[in-house]
Amino acid sequence: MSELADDDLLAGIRGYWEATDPAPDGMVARLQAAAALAASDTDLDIELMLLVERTEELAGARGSSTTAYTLRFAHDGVDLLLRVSTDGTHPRIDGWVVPPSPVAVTVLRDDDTLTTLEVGDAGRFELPDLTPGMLRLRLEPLDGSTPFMTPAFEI
Amino acid sequence: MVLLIVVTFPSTALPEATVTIGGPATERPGDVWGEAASAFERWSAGDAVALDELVRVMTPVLWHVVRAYRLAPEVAEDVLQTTWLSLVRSRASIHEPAAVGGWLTTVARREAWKVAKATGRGIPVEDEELARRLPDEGSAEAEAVRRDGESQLWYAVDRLSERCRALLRIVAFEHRPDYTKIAADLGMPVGSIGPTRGRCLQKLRALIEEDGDDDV
Repeated sequence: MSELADDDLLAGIRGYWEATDPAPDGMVARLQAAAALAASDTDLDIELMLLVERTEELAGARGSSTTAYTLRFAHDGVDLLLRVSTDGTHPRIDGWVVPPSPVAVTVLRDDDTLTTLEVGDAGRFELPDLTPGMLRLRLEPLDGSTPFMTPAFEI
Repeated sequence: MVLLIVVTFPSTALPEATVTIGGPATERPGDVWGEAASAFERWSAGDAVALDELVRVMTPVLWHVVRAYRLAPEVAEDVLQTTWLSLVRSRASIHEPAAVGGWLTTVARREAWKVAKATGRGIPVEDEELARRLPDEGSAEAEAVRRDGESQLWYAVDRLSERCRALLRIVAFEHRPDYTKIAADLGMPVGSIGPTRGRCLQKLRALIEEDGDDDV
């Protein structure tokens, strides 16, 4: 056999490995899904808050059937405390941003915006008269820093 | 939207992604790099679907580079996933689309080396560099495929030393490999990898010749 050029040998080596140890079936599709999912999160340019605590409150001591629970989300030194309760027929949320700072809070359901309100220096806000279901809250600091988003949670 | 498109891929994309014998197996790395650069450029400009194309084009290349580090298939896939997530996170830092192929293979090699070292499954550095593997160490798959009429070259690759096989596998799939980095990965002196690549290729030529002589 005449002397083969480096490029010919390397092409043959590629053929060898492609035949003897090809990428597993389905791997490309799995990696495409993983990359697309990661990209969809970063495309929003939003920091995801994590649920760090969930506390159930016992039913009201005065015989009321109201139950409530508290969720605490956190990211990068910002805490979001949510007390979810029912006043009469509708769920409501009382929220606190800790440390208190002016933010715009947007309530999202299935990517639709239900309402947006501004939170003042006290960092406290109320969302009365909600309907049950999954929600996400988006917090946009009024100083223009990166917005935060909670994972979806059920009320 | 993007996920819907992904779901359709197993039936349409895989035949292209897993190159078969007689297919575009000898596609030059330069062509793959060009496709990757184009897909990256479109993705950066906001075309979300182009990311699928980039993953489809580059994943087989990254697979071969990572598997040269002797990682188990599922570990290799984890390394590839880490590599792709790194790319998504670092998109803004890659200013030159043409650099994306080299960026990906570098990250994949770095991660593969780290994992191989942690699991004690790295490339054997104590191997006599050019020691010949015994013919019966060739994988059954390679033997079967070879008997199906493939070239002497394949038989010769089968008999190369582990380290030459690993080195040439990386060199064959990378476009312009960074010899300094590969040298560190394979535990070779920095300056020796160029000559080692040459020696491994020369060894391969000798094995091909030898096999040819045997047949006469």
